[in-house]
Amino acid sequence: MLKIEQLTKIYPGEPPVKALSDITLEMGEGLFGLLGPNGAGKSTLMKILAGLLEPTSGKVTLDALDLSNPKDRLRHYERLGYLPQDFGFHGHLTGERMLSFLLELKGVTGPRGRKALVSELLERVNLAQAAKRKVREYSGGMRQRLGIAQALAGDPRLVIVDEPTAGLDPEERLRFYRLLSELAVGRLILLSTHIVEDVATLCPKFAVIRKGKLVAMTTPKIARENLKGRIFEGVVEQHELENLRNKYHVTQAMVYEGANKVRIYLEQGDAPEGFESVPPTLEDAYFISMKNESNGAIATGLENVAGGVL
Amino acid sequence: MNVTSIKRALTVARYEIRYPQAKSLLIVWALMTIFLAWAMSIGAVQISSGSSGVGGIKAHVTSEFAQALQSAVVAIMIDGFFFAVLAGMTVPRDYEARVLDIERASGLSPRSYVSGKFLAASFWLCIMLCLQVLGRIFFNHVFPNASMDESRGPLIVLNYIRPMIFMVAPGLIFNGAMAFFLGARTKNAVIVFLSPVALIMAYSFLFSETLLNRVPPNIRELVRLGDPSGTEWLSQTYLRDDRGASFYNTTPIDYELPFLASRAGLLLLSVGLVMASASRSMVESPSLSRFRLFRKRQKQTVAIVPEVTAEFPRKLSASISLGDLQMIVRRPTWLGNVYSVARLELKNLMRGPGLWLFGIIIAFVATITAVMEPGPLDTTILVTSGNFAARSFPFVTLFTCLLALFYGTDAMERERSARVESFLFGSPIRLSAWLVGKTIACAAAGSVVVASTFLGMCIAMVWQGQVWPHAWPLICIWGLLLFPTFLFWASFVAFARSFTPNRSAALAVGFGFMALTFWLNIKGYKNWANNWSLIGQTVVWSDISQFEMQRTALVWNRVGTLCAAVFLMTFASVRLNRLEVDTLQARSRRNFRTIAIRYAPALVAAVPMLYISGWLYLELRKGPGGAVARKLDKDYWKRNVSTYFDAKIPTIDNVDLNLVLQPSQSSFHLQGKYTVRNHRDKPISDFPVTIGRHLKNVTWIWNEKGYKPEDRAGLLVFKKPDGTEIKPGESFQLGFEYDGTYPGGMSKNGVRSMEFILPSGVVLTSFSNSFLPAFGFNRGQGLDADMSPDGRDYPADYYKEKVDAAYGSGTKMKTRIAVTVPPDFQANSVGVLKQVVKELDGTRKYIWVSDHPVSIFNVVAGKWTVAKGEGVSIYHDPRHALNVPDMLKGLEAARKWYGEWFGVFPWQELKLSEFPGMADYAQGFPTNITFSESIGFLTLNKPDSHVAFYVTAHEAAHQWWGNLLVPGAGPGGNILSESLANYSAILLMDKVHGENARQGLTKQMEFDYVSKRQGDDERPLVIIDGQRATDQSVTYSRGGWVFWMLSNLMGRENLNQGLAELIKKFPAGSEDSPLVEDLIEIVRVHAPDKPAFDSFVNQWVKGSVMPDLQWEDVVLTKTSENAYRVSGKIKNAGSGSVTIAIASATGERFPDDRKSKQSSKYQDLRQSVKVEPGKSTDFAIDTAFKPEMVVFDPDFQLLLRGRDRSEKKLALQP
Repeated sequence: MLKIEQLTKIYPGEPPVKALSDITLEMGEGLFGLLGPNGAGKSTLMKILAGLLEPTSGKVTLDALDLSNPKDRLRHYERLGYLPQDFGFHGHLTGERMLSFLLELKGVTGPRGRKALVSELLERVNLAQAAKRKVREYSGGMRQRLGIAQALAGDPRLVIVDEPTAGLDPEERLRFYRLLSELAVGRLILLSTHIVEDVATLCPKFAVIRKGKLVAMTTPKIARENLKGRIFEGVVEQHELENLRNKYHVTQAMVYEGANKVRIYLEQGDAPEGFESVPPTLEDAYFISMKNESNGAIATGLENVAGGVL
Repeated sequence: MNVTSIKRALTVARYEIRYPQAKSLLIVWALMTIFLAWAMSIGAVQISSGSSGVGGIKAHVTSEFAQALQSAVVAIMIDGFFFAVLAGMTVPRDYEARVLDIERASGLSPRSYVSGKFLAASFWLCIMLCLQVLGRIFFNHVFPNASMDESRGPLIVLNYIRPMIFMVAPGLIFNGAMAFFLGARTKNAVIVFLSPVALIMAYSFLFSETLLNRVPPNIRELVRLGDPSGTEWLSQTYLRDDRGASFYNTTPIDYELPFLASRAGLLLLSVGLVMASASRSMVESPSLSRFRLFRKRQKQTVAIVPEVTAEFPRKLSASISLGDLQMIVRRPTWLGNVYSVARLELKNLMRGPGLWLFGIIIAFVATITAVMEPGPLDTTILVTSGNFAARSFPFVTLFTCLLALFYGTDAMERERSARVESFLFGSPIRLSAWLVGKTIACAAAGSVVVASTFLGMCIAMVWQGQVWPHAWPLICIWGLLLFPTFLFWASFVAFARSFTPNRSAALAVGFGFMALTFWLNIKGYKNWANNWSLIGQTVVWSDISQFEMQRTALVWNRVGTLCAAVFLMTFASVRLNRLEVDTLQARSRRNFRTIAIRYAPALVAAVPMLYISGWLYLELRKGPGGAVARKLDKDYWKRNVSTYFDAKIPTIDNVDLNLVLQPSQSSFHLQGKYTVRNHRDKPISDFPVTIGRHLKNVTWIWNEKGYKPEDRAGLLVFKKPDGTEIKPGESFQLGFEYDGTYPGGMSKNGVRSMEFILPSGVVLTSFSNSFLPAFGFNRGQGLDADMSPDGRDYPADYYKEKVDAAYGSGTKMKTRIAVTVPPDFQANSVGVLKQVVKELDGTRKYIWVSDHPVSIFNVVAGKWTVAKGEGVSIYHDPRHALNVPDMLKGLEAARKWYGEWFGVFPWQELKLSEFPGMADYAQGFPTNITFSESIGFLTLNKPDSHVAFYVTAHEAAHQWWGNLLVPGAGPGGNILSESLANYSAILLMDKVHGENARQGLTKQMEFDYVSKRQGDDERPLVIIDGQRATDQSVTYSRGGWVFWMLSNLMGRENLNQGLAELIKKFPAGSEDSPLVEDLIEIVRVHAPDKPAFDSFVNQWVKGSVMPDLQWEDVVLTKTSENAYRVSGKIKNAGSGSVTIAIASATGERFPDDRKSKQSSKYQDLRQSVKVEPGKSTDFAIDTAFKPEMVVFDPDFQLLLRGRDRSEKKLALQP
């Protein structure tokens, strides 16, 4: 059980930046999504949970290990699989050698030895045939997969993956989703992303973070159900779009086959002409929550769908 | 480049200057610049000219020459390094920050980019050079140092600016451009760091005097102009031949056109290098595959690996479950982590080409240094494992430290720059293990330096072809002694990195600390307690005595250094934190308790280091050079200087000693008896005796009755027990008995010592109070080095007075010296061995009795083997037999020929005994010459150089010049000892080995003298007293030459006859001891041409002339069939009116028999001409053969400057 209590992180400067503000969360086993736009504070939170960044205040505990205690922190590293958002490898090493080195540091081996384990891990992330190639010759996706392999090593209790599918092609992304789903049994996997679809696909539970504040914690199903009948979709001309924005809560507007396909959120009243009620998506809920500028309290969308979780 | 490109380049430069990335580097550079400006103002680097005498003219530190030299030194040592790092790291830093793509994408061309970057770095160079100029002006003229008043001229701003612009800046820009090029091409920080060091090494090798003396003049000229630092040009053009302080103080430097052209060439080359740095592939990762050697293999590897993406769809269906992997997690051990990190880091270090290129340069420089570096008496040293390892120790230390600094700072940064730190710090590795692993890897990188130096040594040994490598000395010196230094320094680098914000700052701190260490060493602040690098006179190898001297100090110094490494490493581990600490929380935690808890491990780790350093410091305080001893010495001097400085002391007629040596304890017991006599014509009321503080349980007996002298702060004053004066001629017996340990206590200044008792060898002499009571007040005891008095001015007719002997008893002394030594030792002393008594405890007593009076004596003991010749023998270490036959030949020849020339050798046997090389010297005591192992025994003695023969001949000559005749204590006294010994050696070389060998010897002496000459400081032989800087080369080399020239002028037999008469007139023990003028008086009688003799003496003995010969308008013409004429002028640009032989010659005069190539027959025709100072004299030589060259002084009969110009090749004129 990962428990975050009143976590705050302030970066000094002129003016100081409050990257996280009074975050409180509890997560059990399974996949947990952390959703938020760029700069919301997700990576800061991930680094704190990985034990690499000290919070300004607040407390983080994983299975009774207090991360502010150095001894506990060292034990925490033994249970951690971490794939940061921004990482690299020693380019002159082969993929196999690099992974072997990281496994050595973690003290991970297999029943047939470390070398065999490395081969099998590389097999799992589809890098077996590139095992002997230098990492600097890897594509972005291959590096990402190697990063994933090291995060999975050692059967970690907590796996933190920060924007893991960036750089992966659709096939790889799919494969990675499958991997994460399998792994989620018996451990907590924390997936930080700004791609709503990832969370919708994978996470039975997720939280939304915005400007350092936790704005929601719910499940994709509830989020979608609570918006049922409130999302309308229609096609408008370019010149009508601005009017629409002023009048309605536009959740998404995209150019589709030369026309502006617009989705609006309507809590009550009639939909504009040509708009039809459509099944809500998690993206609708997410964008509704992002649009609201009120101070932490969400007037619509996720606030309601969260059912008072916040 | 078009206007837009230039504008863009300027924009890049502007931003680089406004927002410098390497702020810390710039700050440290600026601080060091200011510090060095101060150091230069107090004379850290000065022109070697002027007079060292009080009131004499001094070379100014403010002259343009001094400023040029100072600027060049600072440029080589500091600016070159900092500028190279600043310029070289710009592209790698951008590459690591991944901004190259974006900058390039903005339309910036590679050329604009590199130009802008290099321009910005050059801007900072200009700022630092300006700071240097302002700093020097400030410290020289605004805030001057009072002690340098005599060495400071008026403020002339151009003196500071012109050398910077014309001499220093182009070379620095070239260095920076080279580093920039390497950085841009390789993106490798270590290669950038190594580039200035490699350039300095290359310069120091290419422009070393040793090498330059061996290259043809035209190459030398190229080197003179091409040296980027400009020092070679300055040295060869102006400084090598001293022009006198007034010239340097007042004349501006004439930057000749070819030199300025070479500077322009360097700048053009720099522009070329910067432009060559620009490449389309600049943003690409540098790869080893770019190197041709690796390319082929790399391609093969790629070829056998199928494209991964092509395999992907099929693999998608494969299982991705982890459960079946059954991963086992065992918490890694600390050592396991250290091993993992060190192994990876080492692989990383070894794969860089920089390390190997650096290694090759080191091997090259080590080889050349080993082969060419001169040893004692300017002889070539035989390269043995021990002496090479010890001599190269500072070199190896410096370069391993530099490597560890460069690789260490880079290694600590590697995870960050490769962005692996999240993986690393997110794993359970302990940071201390990470740090130690990195440190071990960096220390191991230093082994490349050791390996390269070893390779250099092996090449040198093969070159010399005499001895082969031995492991033990190398293990001792490069292993046991160097390893703690490695570890300390690598730990220091980690320590520096732990509190600095980035790699550049850590590098700057490390470099600053290194510079500070060298500075403290130079200033004499180093001691066993703080000398972590062991640089200084602390590492001396002796095949005979391996680290016996100061062993305790050495061992604890190394242990202390290891403890310091542990402390630094612990401190760095405490400082480093994988957790990015919250600044606000950290502020609130900043209280004593929290800090104390955090740093407690470092404090605990500091305890052993502090304990050992403290203990060493206390021992040093008590030791012979420590504060306690210095205070006692000062008390000794203050209390007694006015009363006993010139005290008249009686002489010793008889010496009877029973010396029991315990070499394993470095101790002795002495029971002795002097027969003392007042040999003066006036009564002596009391006389002072100085004994060493290392003597214990001292008891005195005056005429067989117990006696207690007055103790005046360590000076013992003896009066007759009945209170009366000691009448002229009255004699008495003074007995003494005591125990002692020598050397006693821990020394401050390393392991060098002239006298010692060590488990493997003993040397003790009557010159000092090492084991004997020394009569008189010791004038040097308690006197600070900077208070040493200037030479005394003697009246012109001083030699006519009764002059005391310069050393020794001053009488014909008889000795009986019994030395008891362990059974494996032999003991030698003066005279003949009367008896060897085997004692009950197994020890042996050697009883030596003088068979002819002596005035000085010594005791030397060792575990020797003996080589015997006719009336001579050499006692030497069994391993040092290589040169013994030549040395034996030298001793035999000396005994025979010196005896014939200067008077019969009166003693039965002439011995030469070897002692451990704790000091490089030889001393010719009567019948018992002592040689350090490094002199003669370990000299490279090639068939054409006869070096071992020469040093033996010189020391053997002291049996006559120093023992049979003891020079007087007055001006020029030492000329009768050292100059005449060198003259004797020249004659003996000529007699035994012939003309060619003699010419080689005189040429070597001439080079020694001319290269060390300082015109303003030099005094004529007749008044020289050893007080000035250049007195030694004047006494030995010029003095030897003067007598050689005199022998040519008046005839060898005539001069030798005069010299033999001198010994007869002033035998050792005479009431009056001779000075140079006594010699002149006696020798003059035998001169066939008195006016010529007087003229010679006035110029060469009473004057300091120095001819400097140059050819003018030399032409070879064919006058008729088979008739040629060489004509021209010869000019004496120096001083002295001299007669010089000119030879028109063809063929090789001394063909090398070992070469199979037949050389043409030598023939010459000569003409003697007289050349007046500053004037030219015509000559014309007609020959019946076609001459190839014209040579002045072909027989090396005139000491002169410009020997390298003596041969002029001739071409036939139409």
